[in-house]
Amino acid sequence: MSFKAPDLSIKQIYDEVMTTVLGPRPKMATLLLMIILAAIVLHGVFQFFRQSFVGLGVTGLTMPVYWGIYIATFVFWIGVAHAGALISAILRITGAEWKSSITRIAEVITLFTLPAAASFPFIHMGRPGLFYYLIPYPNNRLIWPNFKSPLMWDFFAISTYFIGSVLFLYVTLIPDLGTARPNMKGWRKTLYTILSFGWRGTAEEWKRVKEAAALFSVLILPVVISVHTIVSWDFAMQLVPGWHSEVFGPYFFVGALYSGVAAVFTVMTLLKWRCGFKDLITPIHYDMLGRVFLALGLAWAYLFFNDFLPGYYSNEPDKMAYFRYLAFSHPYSVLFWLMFLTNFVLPIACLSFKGFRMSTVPMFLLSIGVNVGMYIERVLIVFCGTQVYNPLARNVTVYVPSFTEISIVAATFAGVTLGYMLFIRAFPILPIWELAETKIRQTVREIAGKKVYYFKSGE
Amino acid sequence: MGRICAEFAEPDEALAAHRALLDEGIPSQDIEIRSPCPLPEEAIPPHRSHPMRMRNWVRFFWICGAIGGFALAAGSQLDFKIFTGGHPLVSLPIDVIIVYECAMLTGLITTLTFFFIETRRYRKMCPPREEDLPVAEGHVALVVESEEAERAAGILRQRGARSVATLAFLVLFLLAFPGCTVRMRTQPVIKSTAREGVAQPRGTVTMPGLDERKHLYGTVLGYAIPEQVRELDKKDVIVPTAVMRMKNPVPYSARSVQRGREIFGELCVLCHGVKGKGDGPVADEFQPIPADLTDPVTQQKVDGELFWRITIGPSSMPSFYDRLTAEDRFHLVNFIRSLTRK
Repeated sequence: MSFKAPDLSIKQIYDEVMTTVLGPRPKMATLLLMIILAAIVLHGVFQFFRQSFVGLGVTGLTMPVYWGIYIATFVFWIGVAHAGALISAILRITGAEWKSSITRIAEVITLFTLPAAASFPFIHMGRPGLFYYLIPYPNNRLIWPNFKSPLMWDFFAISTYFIGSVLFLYVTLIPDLGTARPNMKGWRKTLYTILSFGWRGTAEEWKRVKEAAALFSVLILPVVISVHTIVSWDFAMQLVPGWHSEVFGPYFFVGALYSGVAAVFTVMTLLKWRCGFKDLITPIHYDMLGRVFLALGLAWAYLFFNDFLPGYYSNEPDKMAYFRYLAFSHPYSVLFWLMFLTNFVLPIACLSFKGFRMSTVPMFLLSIGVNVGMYIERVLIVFCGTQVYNPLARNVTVYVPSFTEISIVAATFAGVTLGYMLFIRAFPILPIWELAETKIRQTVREIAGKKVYYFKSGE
Repeated sequence: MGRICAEFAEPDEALAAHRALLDEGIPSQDIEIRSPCPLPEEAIPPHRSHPMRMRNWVRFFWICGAIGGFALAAGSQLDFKIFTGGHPLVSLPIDVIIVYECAMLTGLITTLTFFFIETRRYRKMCPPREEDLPVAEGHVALVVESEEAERAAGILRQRGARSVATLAFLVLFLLAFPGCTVRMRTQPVIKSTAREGVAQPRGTVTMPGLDERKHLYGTVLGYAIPEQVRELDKKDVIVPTAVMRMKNPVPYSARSVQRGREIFGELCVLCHGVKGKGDGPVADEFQPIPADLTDPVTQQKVDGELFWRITIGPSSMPSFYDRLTAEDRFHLVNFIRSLTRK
């Protein structure tokens, strides 16, 4: 079955998308959920301040493990943040028509997960107040940042990606804000009027928006690749056996896309469940994105084995010790094999079947499983390297995250969810103009008694 | 001259009406089409358009960003050298990362900026009016501004327009952006010459000051001379005679000089410079300036006095009493001797 644009007029598309914004007030259950999420966030903030005043001793970090779940969660959120760029940029460049229902869902994931990620190096610092030392500006200390530090590269890469993805989201949001503006009331009217910058929807303005979107796609793609590669260099540039791996750049990048697509599935299904969109998000979207998911899963599996195989064949003692620790030590080997199951065995086996790809609930559960697996993978990578590589052998403690660490990590998860819920209430979560454009460009032709849908080029 | 606005429910109807208006001889630059989504460009003749130059500007600023990133990374490494083993390092592969990210960032910001500039240039040609809201609820509108607006209204009604309205002329206010000011110069500054004034920031660590060094004075020599301690913050302190009689227990050798060079490369080089000329990267920050170690005035001092000065840290130089062993301090003395001895 080929992809077919939704069988709705532009007005119907507009009405269906705007139900999330203009629909009835949220139910009590939703409000209660939001209050709970806000409480978790506030508790995390409280724990962060407590950690700042008491010191990093409240975390479980001690020799030899000095990078714990803070850094693991940082890597994880950066990975999930790759969803936006993948869906918007890659699918836009390749001209995939089915992308239009998914683009903004993915971009908004980036909007909230990137700040969540960027907060972790800050939280992990011993003296967070001196964060501004990273920012290169002419200062009275006459000291410039040390560009030889991977922390500096992270700072540059993440801030570039964040600015880029926010601008990208904004440019593609302008036309929808303009379209929706006359129907808005109250604070939304003011907000939409300011943000839409006098949008009128003339042909010339459309030309400019499409030009800007094309340029953004082309520019943001290399940035995305660089971001997670640079994050992987935080590990790979060090001489710790589990970390010092040449394949970490592509391995982290593919892993990031993998978890990003999984996150899109999760959010897509939740939106479909809570907000309707039954004509706009269809099983065909699941099928199409599921193919991308399968390809990324295979690529991830290849690089995962590639990380271990050279060490295995050369029987490199340090690498083998690392692998033995991962796979057979108690208690973390359980996590390792769980990751192996949810990231490799289950996705590859299930996603090969079209029937599975097109069914909503199993795909939702699988996407959650993949992201749990990716989180475990990051945690294991971050602390097992230093846990095993302990040349001084003076410390036999096993790293266990403390309550402070867990509550701060939980706060970011709650914060991302809460932010997403508020965004849905404030702005259209599906791009009306892209859906309508797909609809207009679709042409039907009858070939050998069958209806074939194809799309005229947008350029 | 009249101005009318006709709304259509479907884009196809609007495009057909647009074609009909052109067939009836209404010039294309008088008809503006407004839609909630991009319409096929080949169906709409240009409405007072001008060529877009966004791509070229993005290319240009991308290169500017790359140059700026290189200037930032390489410049800061040249300006504030990191010394390893006495040698400054400028690392090009690392510069590439910064160059790359800066270029991309500039490219992305330029894209948004020129999106606004290009749209604004177009809007200057067709100034917006107060009633120029975007068309609501996914409708497509044709706006005709022409001498023959009445005739156009008739044609549009015939083609099934939902509503045809005559619009009045009004002028829109211009957007004004609040200005930004740079306040970097007016914030509190610790002048290198000021001894007091700005309070010590919270959370910083103090260097051993004069009070601590008074105690050292006694430790090093075995006795303290109160009136001389007062002289410690001057450059030419009165040197106790016990120091003048002190002998260097570490013999001058290539190994000793090498050890001294290693320590010098880590601790001393920032102020005294690679060659010991007192011209390190932060030398200008001090008053009095760091001593030129190759100067005859320094070289004429006996080993004991040099050792004593390193230990106690006269003037703005820090004390190395608890950071270097006595042996290491004598290695440094030997290294200072090697600066002029060839």
